[in-house]
Amino acid sequence: MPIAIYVNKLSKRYAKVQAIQDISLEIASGRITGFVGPNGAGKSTLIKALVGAVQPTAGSLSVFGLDPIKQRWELRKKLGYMPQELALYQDLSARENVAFYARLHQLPDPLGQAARLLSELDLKARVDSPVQDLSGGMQKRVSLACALVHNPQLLILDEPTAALDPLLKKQLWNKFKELARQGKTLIISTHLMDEAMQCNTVVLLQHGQVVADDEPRKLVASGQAVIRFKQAGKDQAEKVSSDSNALAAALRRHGLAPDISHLEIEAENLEEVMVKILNNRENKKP
Amino acid sequence: MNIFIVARRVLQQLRHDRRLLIFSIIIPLVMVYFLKLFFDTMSPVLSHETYVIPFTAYIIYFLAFILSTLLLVQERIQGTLNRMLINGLRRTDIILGYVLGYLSLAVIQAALVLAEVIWLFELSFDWKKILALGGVLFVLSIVSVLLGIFISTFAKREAQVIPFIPLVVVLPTFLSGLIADPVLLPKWAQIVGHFFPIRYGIYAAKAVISPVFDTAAFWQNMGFLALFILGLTVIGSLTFRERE
Repeated sequence: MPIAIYVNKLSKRYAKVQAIQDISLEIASGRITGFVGPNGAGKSTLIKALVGAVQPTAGSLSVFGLDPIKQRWELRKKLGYMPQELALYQDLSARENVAFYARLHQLPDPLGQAARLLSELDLKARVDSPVQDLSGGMQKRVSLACALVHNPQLLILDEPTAALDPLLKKQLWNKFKELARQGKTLIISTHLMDEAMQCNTVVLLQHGQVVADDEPRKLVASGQAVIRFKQAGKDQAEKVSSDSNALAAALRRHGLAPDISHLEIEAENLEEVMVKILNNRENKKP
Repeated sequence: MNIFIVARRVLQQLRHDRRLLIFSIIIPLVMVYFLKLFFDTMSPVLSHETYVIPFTAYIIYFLAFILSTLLLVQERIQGTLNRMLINGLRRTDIILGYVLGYLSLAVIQAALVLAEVIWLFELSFDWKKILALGGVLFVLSIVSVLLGIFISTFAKREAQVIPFIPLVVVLPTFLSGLIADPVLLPKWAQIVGHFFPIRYGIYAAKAVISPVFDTAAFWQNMGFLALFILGLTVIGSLTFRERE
């Protein structure tokens, strides 16, 4: 996979807070990358640096070979950004909001394009409703439409599903996956592990630093599992690695003897693995 | 091109927000009516237009400042300002787009307020003077919008605009020739008064309504207002930044 984004030793310091520190990353194109971490971990600052909304204190980054601040004008066509706040004009209709961004990107028939995109996002009946009259979920979709209207190669979405109901979350994730299938690069910040599991790659941040950067399944595999079984009427348990090879080896070791009447495998989920990684780092701090 | 897109959006917002429209059009008219009630209590010997016209300019200045500051602070709070910049808009696109969007409202505002003042106070100005006064109010509202954009940089919430009101709006009433003649003030206060654009608006208006239209003083003060427009656009572009 070609690399879409290079981040090299990037730091950003606000007056008294070191928001991100010495971050180096490579993000592949055509994939969904999740930025995960507790509140204040630096996810939003990293995203703002990627879209050119904050000036890094140190380090460098390039998005499709462009500097997000110095080459913002060239980058804008390739980049769609949905901020954490809705960033919509509440008095304007859903269609007028999307059409505004369509006009900024000099698209033909901005009102028509806006209506078509909103219909794709299941908002056909509400295209002319003022945004302030729409539900939270609908407003999120309008905000997503504003980011999508110019058909960008890279979509950066800052907590796009926060405070949405499970059904709507699923719909949006289906849309994200569809976009990735079309070859678009998606960066999605989230603190929900079920969402992180749906990403191709997860970047875990803590105190402004990257503490893990891998596929979610590999991260889960780095955790532990407990195999519980009842053999000859006696409860037994063995701690093994969650890695599929290690699990298979453990099962082979015990064999499925006829006297094994009960078998359970309790593997750590992504959340537990990540909490462990975060706690380990926290404990190592002087 | 982008300036027109921003201006169009500002106009759409103004059109949709009835409270904002009422604030911009109806309230100045009501304030002028109360000005009439106030001047009716004064001695008839007093030359009404000497005070009424500067007060009218002051009302326009005050409301345009508040309106533009609040709109821009809202843009910052809602994140739309960041979004515009990320979508490639330049700071000057946004500032000039706002000014352009506000111009149509300023034209309507200036025309209606001036018509009401002339009608209520039975002022007899020729067309040249009426046009000149309309021009003063128009240019003053542009300065005021730019001042609002500049001041909005220092406020992260609407409430943070309030401390600037005494400084930008109340102080000039004492120092800019609205109530007292600045020449009678201490030297330092006279100097401070020069930094408020409303002073030049008031002086330009006074030049128009003097028995003989003082063209030189009018253009001199309009020139100062033009310098404020230029200066505030440059300063606004330099200080106008997204919330980090």
